[in-house]
This record gives sequence, structure tokens and C-alpha cells, in this order.
Amino acid sequence: MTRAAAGLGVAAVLLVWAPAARPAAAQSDWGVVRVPGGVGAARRVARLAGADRPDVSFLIDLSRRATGTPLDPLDTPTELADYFTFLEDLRTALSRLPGGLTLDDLSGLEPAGRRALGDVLALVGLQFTDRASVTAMPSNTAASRRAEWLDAVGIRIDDLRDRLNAGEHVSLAWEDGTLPLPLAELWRARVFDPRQPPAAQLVADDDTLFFYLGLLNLDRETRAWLSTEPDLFRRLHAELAAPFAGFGRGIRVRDGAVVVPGGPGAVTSWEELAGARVTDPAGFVTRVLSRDRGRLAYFYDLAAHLDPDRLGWLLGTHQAGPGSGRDRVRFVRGVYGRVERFAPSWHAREQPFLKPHPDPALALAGVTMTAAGKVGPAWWPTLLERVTVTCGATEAVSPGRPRNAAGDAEWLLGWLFERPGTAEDRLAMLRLLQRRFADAPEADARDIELALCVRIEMPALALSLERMGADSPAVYVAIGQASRHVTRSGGPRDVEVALRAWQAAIALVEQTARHRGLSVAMVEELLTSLVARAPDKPADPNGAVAFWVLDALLPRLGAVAPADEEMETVVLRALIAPEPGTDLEFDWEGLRYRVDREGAAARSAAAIRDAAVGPRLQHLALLVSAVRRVESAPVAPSALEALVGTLETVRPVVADVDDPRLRPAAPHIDAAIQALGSGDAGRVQARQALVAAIDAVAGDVLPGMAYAMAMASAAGPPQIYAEAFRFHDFGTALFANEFRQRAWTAPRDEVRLEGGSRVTGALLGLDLARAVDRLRRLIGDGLVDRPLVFETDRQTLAERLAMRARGTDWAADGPRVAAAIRRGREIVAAWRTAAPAPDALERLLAAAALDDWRVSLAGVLVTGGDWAGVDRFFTLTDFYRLGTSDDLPDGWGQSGSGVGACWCLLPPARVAPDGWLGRNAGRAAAVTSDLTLRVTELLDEFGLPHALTEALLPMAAQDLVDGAQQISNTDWQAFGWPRRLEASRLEDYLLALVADGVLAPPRDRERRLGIR
Amino acid sequence: MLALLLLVGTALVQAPAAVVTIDEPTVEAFLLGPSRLRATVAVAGPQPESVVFQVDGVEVCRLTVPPYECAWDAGPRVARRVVRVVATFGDGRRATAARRTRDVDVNETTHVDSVLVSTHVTDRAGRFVPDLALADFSILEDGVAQPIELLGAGEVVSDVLVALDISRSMAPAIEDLKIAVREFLGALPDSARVAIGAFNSNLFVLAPFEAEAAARFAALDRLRAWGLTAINDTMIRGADLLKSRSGRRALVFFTDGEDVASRASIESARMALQTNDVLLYVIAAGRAAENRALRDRLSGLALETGGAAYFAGRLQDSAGHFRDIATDMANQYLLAFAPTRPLGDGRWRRLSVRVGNARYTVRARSGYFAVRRRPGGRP
Repeated sequence: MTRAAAGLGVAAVLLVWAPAARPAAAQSDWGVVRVPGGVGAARRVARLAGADRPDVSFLIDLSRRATGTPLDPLDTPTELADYFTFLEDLRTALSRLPGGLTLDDLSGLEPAGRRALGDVLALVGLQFTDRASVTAMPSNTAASRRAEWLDAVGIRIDDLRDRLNAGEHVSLAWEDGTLPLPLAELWRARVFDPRQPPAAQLVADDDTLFFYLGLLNLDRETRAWLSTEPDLFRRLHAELAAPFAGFGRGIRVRDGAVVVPGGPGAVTSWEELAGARVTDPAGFVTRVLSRDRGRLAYFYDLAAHLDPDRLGWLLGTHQAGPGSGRDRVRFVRGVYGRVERFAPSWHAREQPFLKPHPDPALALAGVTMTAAGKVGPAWWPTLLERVTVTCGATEAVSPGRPRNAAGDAEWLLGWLFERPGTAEDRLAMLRLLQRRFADAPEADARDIELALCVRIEMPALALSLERMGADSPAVYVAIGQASRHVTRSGGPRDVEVALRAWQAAIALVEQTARHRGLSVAMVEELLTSLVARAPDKPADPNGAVAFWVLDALLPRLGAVAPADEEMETVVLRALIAPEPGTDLEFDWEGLRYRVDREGAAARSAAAIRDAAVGPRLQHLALLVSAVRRVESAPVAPSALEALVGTLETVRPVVADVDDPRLRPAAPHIDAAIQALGSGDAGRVQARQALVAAIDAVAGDVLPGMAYAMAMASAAGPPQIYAEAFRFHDFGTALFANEFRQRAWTAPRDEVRLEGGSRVTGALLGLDLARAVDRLRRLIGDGLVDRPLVFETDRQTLAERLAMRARGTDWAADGPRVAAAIRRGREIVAAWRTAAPAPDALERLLAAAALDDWRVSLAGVLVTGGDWAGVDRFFTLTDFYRLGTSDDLPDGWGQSGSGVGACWCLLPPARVAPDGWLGRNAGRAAAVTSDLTLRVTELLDEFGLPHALTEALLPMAAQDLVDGAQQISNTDWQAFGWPRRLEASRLEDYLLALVADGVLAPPRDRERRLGIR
Repeated sequence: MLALLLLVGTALVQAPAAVVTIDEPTVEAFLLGPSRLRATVAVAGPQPESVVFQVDGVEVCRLTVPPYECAWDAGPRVARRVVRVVATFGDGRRATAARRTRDVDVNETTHVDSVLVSTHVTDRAGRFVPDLALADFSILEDGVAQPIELLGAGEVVSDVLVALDISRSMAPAIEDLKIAVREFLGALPDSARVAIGAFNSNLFVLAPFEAEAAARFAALDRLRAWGLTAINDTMIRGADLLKSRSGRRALVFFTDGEDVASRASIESARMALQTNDVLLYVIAAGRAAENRALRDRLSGLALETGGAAYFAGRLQDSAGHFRDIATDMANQYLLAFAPTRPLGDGRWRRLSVRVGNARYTVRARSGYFAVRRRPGGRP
């Protein structure tokens, strides 16, 4: 860089105190702060991922480290500030060397010049070896840090040393950058120390970054008001920065008064809570942010971000609310009391970005309200109160608590957060009630009560039933009671034998429904028939589940095959991919393709089973048919001989994998063979032994099939998944007293002490527990860098891959979604020629659910004409929401297992993303739908069917995991990466689908070539 | 007309139009073993900056000047494939063409039903015995003699995947590893087709089998350490990559750590190696060499395939073991037999390879899983 350019940097210092040139016209409260070395270099020094993000968001990106758990923390908190100070010091030192940096003619230097040269050399880490040459100072932490800082601005120490020693004149210089600074005058007057570089002060501590974030979260008019309140400005920075950043988003001041959530009708309530008048905005804001250890601020923020219906319900202004005046004030005080008391250990003022899970804001956002301001029919609250007693979610309803079962906000928050540790269960129950039983009559109340107990006692079962679409409370009750009976039928080992087969039977229905879709009626019929066949004494040998699978399940699903060596393969294919009625076909690059996703999944499942040793469904079928033979008296000697022959072929196969810890099958087969040796008289003993063998073999074969169906189309070779079912852990070995609960918890992939991993919990939802195995990296991609995505967010992304959006009409919805994205892009593109007025822009972006700070920064970009920044600013979800007011269909949703307590897809609500964060992990990946939206956009561009979306996502999601660079777990902007997904990459994905057989030749061509 | 439509792709972006034509494989051809891919690009104006051939989405060669043709090994089985050619021009325009090759239902070759048995014969001094004939060998399967073939002797290994541990613990030693592997690559015969892989909990292919020697060496420069070690899964993934190779397949596996990230058991890894006829060589250093149980497991796996395992307390010592492997691979007999009992029961069958001269020591594959091998697909 030239000296002239460095001079520009000096000129830019002046801009710190003056409004920025271009934003000034439109946004008078904005100035800029000079960033020594530029924003890009600062990102590198701060080890802040996301070089593709616009410069304007740098300080917000930096604040992510403080608002969440950083993935790549700085060695020292002040490192960036030290770097800015260092560059400024170096620039000052260089300014004392007007002739530039050189070792030439040192003898001619004045003492002052010699000192200045020494200062510069010392700063950059060089020292004289003799009078005419320099060398690097001894290596230490400070020196290497200095070298990194210089490297960030393009100065290499070794290169500098060599050039100086060669006698060159070296001009050291670097470009500075700028960042937007709201209310710049007040920063200068009330915050900045004039002796320090402003940029260094901005990044020196978390509170200053929080304060900056808080200012950006205010709208223009409120900021304008704050500009007239310098004392409040100082106090917010010095004392209230964290709650201001976390909960100040809803503060709105107009015409000298605070505009409270709920409008004029709620003013009295808020004034009572705050202890200040809205006409005293500074006092009101201070009280709201500081009272009750930040709880009032949290409540205010919660209310400010509710939709009008929920807000009315919260504040009692809905049609059935508590009238007006003092009643309403008392009501709001009661509601606030619930919020104030939940999770007592949470210090909201100090931890505004780390919220308990669940918390009232999350609960209220997910619960549906009726027009009358209730959570459902009038009998629901009583039902829910009863459930908490009936099924032991708590010991009992608190005797001292008023029996207000009105279903209003106070009741709901009181019920949900009555006791620590129960809120999650209760919220899950309420959501299940609202999602599945909303239309059930009061006559079903008893069944619903018991069904909700299933959600608490056997969460995996309830989640699986809901996933399959079951909506009859009676079915939940029946399968729940039968499952409870199985689980309590004996000691851990006997129960494990019974559970393996029982849960696997349900899992086969679940996985069939996932792959090919089953009607609700079919699901409920199958499960009801399973319950009808459930044995009285499940822990005793009975063979019931195997009989049900072969006699009821498979025939009903059209999956019947002879018991030959292909039986299991044929059955798996029938369960996953029955003969299709119509195939989806399309043309691409001159070739015609047929989409055969289910066929590929069926082949994958068969391959997984092929790679495992041990018995197959056909062996189970042979044992079942053997029982039938011995049951039909009398059995001719020749038939007995044939029977023994059959058993002798089965025995070695099962003996290979018999689990000595449980009930091994081979000894029972031996016993049966021995009993049959005594002729017809041994039939009864033989039957008993065979039934025991059937239970043991069913406990191997059926989980094996369920796992294969769950893992079908996983990314790795089949051997990786083939034996996983044998490591499945119900908890019976380690948790003798708790396994009855653990066996029905949602399955989780856990590290095994002996290495590797295994799934613990239920056999239901296996595909979700192992969802990350679906992420597919293309073989030609080579080595990638260490991923910078949280495991929990990766899991969230991966769960989307396991879930099928069968209700989505891809052909109809895909083009609509693509058109909305296109419209959104066009709206933004049009700003280049006609930028909207600031107020209009603010309204438009707020309606598109951008976070408040993003609305502010978008204004800076647009009014400043920073179109390169604009290109990197908006997400695909932003474009979609700008293009339409419609909610996204389910197919564009994300896993609801975290926020929705369901194994279902939930499209991101039209809510500013930051509002969802800071709670349970894995949410950052779920607050936008950019990946699916980008795939939609590209498919539309290619003119290819949108039904390919789900097949393409495993590869796109892996690229996202490899490419996204999260700063912390609150950093959702990292998942805006898909805007970089290029069309040629989609072609790679399509070709990988060809290799997998998902894209196959048309059937007529296959028939013509004699291909099966 | 249909054939013409299948043959010709069109430019995706506007004029001047460029047309890519795939000359080989021809329409509905079968692809098996070493094959040739050829295309022409018709364009008014400058030729494309690059022409890339992809098979099933994987780039198999990239050319910058005509003639646009390259060799590619389609492997031992006929499978339906999509060959795609992408021509990219200096102004960003692209033109593509795609062709689908044929699959057949019955495509088992002799090797699919045959069991390959790598055999290393040494004299009492430990030297390789080079001049044995078919009549000198016998193979017993579960004690029953099998009719055998002698497919080759000496440098019979032709397709090698080198899988290098890049887990986090390798960070201080990765430069030493690069040096050792460079030496190993240099010692392999020119005829060997070598792929370079790096693994932690994933296996990354840094240089495919088709890569030139220079590209393999360059791939080593890209190694950097992160992640956790997954030994079993990597062996399975390695066997999966090798199974499509038509030559004698070997996996050279280097690790410094214990398996903490695998999904699969060692039994599954064993099955993958055995069912895909992969010869396994292991070099374990550091913690992997110190853990007795792991040593035993790795030794067992390698010896069962006819390969060998080497253990180095210090990583620097592993360079010598890489040399040992290169020597071992260059001094083998490759026997084959079609089992007299049909495959399909999936059970382990024990093999015993003998040579007539009792003074010789035989190291050979000690068994295999009698798994039925399905045509096509991913298993």
C-alpha cells in the first residue's frame, strides 16, 4: 500500500466522529468507526469464521462468541483489541519515519530517526544483529502473535527482514475498513476513551459488544429518542448491556412515550409491573431492564414478540379475558408471577442468552390458542391437571395452588412450570394433545388421559405413534398398556428377550410407514391386531410376535414370500417399495430417468442384511411352520424326519449368533430335535422348545430387519450398519432398576466404552438416532477441513434427512416456493435502482421476520449502496418471506424433535431467528430452511421435478456441514451457506443418485433389456 | 433419431453453440474391466479449456487438449453406468453430454464366484521362493481339497488403497508420515494403480486410482490432522472402494490410535475385507501399537487375508515397515478356486494352503465368508 493510501486511513479517523457520507442522508443517527487493517484482516485475527459474511455484521458475528458457546475461542479475550492497538501504534511509529523503512545509510540518521527506526523494528519483532542488518527477535508467544497480526495485513516478517537486509526502502502500509456505528456522537461523548482506538474499545469486552447489539435491535425512531438521552445511553452501556441486548428488542418509543406490547389497553399493567410511567421512557426502560434480576425484561421481550392472538391471551385482552381495569392488571401480575418464579436458578439479567429449556417464551410460541383465549376445550385443563397425577408426571398437584383450571395464560404457565424438571414433559403432552386429539370429544377424556400418560412413560412409543399418524386415543392406550405389560413381565433378561421382538414389531410398522406411507387406518388396524395377539405372560416363551408378523403383518402389507433363501429380501422390498402405480420420470441431458428412491432403499436394506451373519426371516418362518407341524396331530414319521432335517439346517445359523446373556435358541432347537426323536409322543415338548427358540430368533431377526429398514440408504457401505442391531442397548445390563423406563426413551447414539457407538433406548425412531449416517459426502471430494458446526446442529440437519414429508405435494408446492424465492430476489434487486425509504424498508424486513439488528444493518447496506454486502446478507429464507406471506410447506421444514417434541417436520415459524436461540442445543440449524430452498431454486432452474428434493438433501446437507462455519451455537447465520451452492454441484448430486440407482432407466427400457 | 438424441448434448449457455459427442462407450455398450472413454467437441471458435469425464458422478479424467480420451477401469462386474462429459470454455460456457451403459442381470464373472488366495512362500532364511508351479500348491477348504488355478506370481497386487490415519493425535507426526509414504509410493511398481486415502471418522479419497504418480505425491501434501479414529469403518469403506477394481486388491492401512469412532464391529470389517477379496497390510504406531488387544485384532485381520501387520513403537520406525509391505506385495502367488460347495450360507470357511516342500513357510489367506455376491448394487 502506498503512503497516500495510508493517508486515507488517517482521514478515515475523522469519520469516527462524523456521520458516514452515504448513510448520513437517510439515517442520520449512524456514523462509522474505523477498523485498522480492514474488516477481513480483523476476522482472521479474531479467528472468526464466515469470510463470506458482509463486513457490516462483523461486530454482531463477534458478539456470537459471547452470546453462545464458541467453537474456536480466542486465546485471550482482548486479543482483537490488542491487535487494533498494535496496528495504531505501528502506524504512529511509521509516521515518524518519513523516508520509509530502510537500513540504508544508518549512519546518516539523526538520533530521533534512529529511535523511530528502533521503535518500528521492535514493534514488528526485528532487532539489529549488527549495525547494518536485522534478524527476528527470539520466538515466543508475543512474537508469534505479532507475526500473525502483521500477516493478517499482508506483512511477512521474514520477507521484511530480507528486504531490509538487502538495503531496500520498504513502505509498510495497510488498508483500513469501516463499520457502521449507531449514535456515533454519543459513543464518543459517553463511552469511548479518546486515548484508545475506538475499534479496540468496541471489541475489548462483551458488554460493549452487547450494547452495540442492543442499539442495533432498536428501531430508528427509538434510537432517535435514545440519542436525546445521553445518561440513559451511558447507563445502558455501563450497567444493563446484557439485558439490553437480550431483551431490549421490544422497546419502542414514539412521541416521548413507550409503546408497550398490547397497546393502550395494556399500559396500566406494564406501568404497574415496571413501577414507572410510559411517559417517562428512560425511567420505564431502566426499570424494565433491571427489575427482578432481568425477569421483567424477559417477560417484556416475550410479550413484544408474540402474535396478536397470543399476546391478547397473555395480557388478558382477548374476548374472554378478565374485563378491564384492576382485574386485568391483577391478571397480568398473576401471569408475570409465573414467569418470575419459573426456573429460580436462572439469572436472566446476567444470562439473557442462555435460557432454561423449555421456557415460557418457547412454550407460548408453540402452543395453539383458541379464539376464546384457551388452549382447547373447557375440559382440557382439568384433564391435564388430572394427567399429572394419574401418570406420575409429578407426585401430586400442589395442594395450596388455586384450582384455576380456566385454561388461561396464568393457568397454563402455572401448570407447565409447576415443578422443576417437569415442564418439558408437560409441554410435550400438551402439544401431543393439540396435534393429535384436538377434535376428540369429551367422551374420550379417559382414553386421552391414558394416552398422554404414554407420552410420559414411554415417550418413544408415543412419538412413534404420532409419527405414523395414529390419532385414536384408544390405540395409544391399547398399545401403551400392552407395551407396559411386556416391560413389566419379568426380570431384565426375560424382558429384554420379549422387548426385542415386541418393539421390533412396532418398529417394522413404523419403518414401513416411513418408507412407503401407510394410511392411519392401516397403522391403527395393524397395531390393534398386534395388541390382540399379545401374550398374557410376555416373559415366558410364547412366540406370539413372530406369529403376528408372519400371520398378520406381512399378509396385510402384501409382503408374503415362500420361506426360501430369498424370503427376507423379498419381504424387505415389499415393505419398503411395493410395486408402484405410476413412476415419476424426467429427462436430463438427453437421457430419461425414473425416480426409484424406494427401490434403492429396498436394495440398500437387503444389502445391510446380507452383510450380517445370523438367522433371517426365512429361518424364523421355518421355525414357525415347524411349530404348526407339531401342533397338527398326528405327525407321520416321514414328516417328523423332514422336520428334524429342517431344524438341523436352521440350528447352525442361529448358533453362530446366539446371545448367551439372553435366551439362546440353539439349545432349544436341540431340545426340540431330541423330543421329536421320541416320535409323536414328543410333540408337546418339541412345541414348547420350538416356541422358546422362536422368541430368541425373533429377538434377532426382527430388530435386524427394523435396523436395516431404518438405515436403508445410509451413506456408508452396508457392513457398517449390518451388526448395529446386536449392539442395541435397552439398558437392561447396566440399569437393573431403570431399564423399564430407559427401554422406551427416544433412542440415542452413544459412545461405547469399548469403542464405536451404539444406540440406547427404544427400537423406535432408529433412523433419527442414526440420522448423521445419512449425510453423504461425494467420493471425489477429497479432504475437507475440520467442520465448524456443532454436533447438535449437525444432528438437527441430519434428522431432516431421515424424515419424509409424505404430505407434501412437491409438484405443486415446489414451483410456488421457487417463485416466491424469485420474487424475493427481484424485490431486493430492485433496490439498486430505487431504494425504498428507510421506514418502508424497516417495515418490509420486519414483516419478513428478520431479526431487529439485521433490519438495522440491511438499512445501512441499502442506503449506503453496498450491493456486494447485500448479496451476502440475505438468506434464502429471507428471500422466500419477502416473496410471499405464505408459510412454508412441511417438506421445507426441519426436524421438530428439539422444539416441537415430535418426530415430524416443522417449517420455521415466521419469527426472528434470534428469538429461538439460547435454549436447547441444535436450534441454530432449524431456524431457517435455506438448504431445502436452495435445492428447490436449482431444481426449478434445471426444470427438474421437485420430488427429487429429499433424495438430493443428504449430499447437500453434507456440503453444508463441511462449508458452514459456526462461530458459536447461537450462530444461525452460518446456515446461510446454501446461497453458495452452485448449479454444477447439483449436477454432481444427480449423478450420485444415478450411481445409487435412485435415478434409474425407465421401466420399459429395463424390460426391453431384460433387466429386473 | 433416438440414438442421435442420446448421443448429443447441447450447450447450457447461449452461442456459439458447442456440441459434445461421446464416441466411446457406444450406445448401450457394456463396460467391463479396462475401458476407453472418448469424446469430441464440435465448436466454432476456441476449444474448451477443460473436458472432464465423469462416471456415475465421479471424475475419472480431466483433459485440456484434444484428443479427448482416457483409460478407465470399469472393474470386474458389468453395471449400468452413466458416462458424462463436461466441456468448459474460457468464457464460462459449458456443454455436456451423457450416455448410459448397459447392465445385465446375469453378470457373474469367474472371479465373482471364485475365491482369491494371496500366498506368500518363504524359505528358511525368510526369502521369497519365486519359482513354484501350480502343482506345488494345494488348498483345503474346511479340510476338503479344492481344484485351484494359479493366476500369477511376483507383483500380483495391482490395485492398492493407502489409508492414512489423520486423526487429531497424528498432528505432531504427520510430516514424518508423509515422508514414509512417499518412499513407499516410490517403491511400488509402475504398473500399480494406487489411491491415497486419509481417514479419521470418515475416509477421504485424496487421489483416486486413476491419478498420475505426481498427483499421488501432491495428495500427501494435503494431509492435515483432525477428528477421531475409526478403524473398523475405514476398513469397510476401503474394501468398498477396492471392490470395484478388477486387479488384485490391497489395503495398506496406517493408524496411530485406538478405534473410538467406528459404527461397525471388527467382525463387520473382517467380513468386508473377506467378501471383497482384499489383502490387508497394517502398520500400527504409537498407542495403536501399545494396545495389546488392538494389536491382536489387527494382526488377526491382516493375516487372515494373507497380508501382514507391523507395529512400530515410534512413528519414525514405520518407514521401514512401509518398505516391508512394498517387498511383500511384490513377492506373492495368487491362487484362485471355485468352491465345491455353493456360496450363500454366509458362514466362515477355513482355508489351508500347502506347498509340497516342507521346508517352506506359507502365509496365505486363512478363510473366507461364504456370502452370496449379488450382482450390481452397492453391497
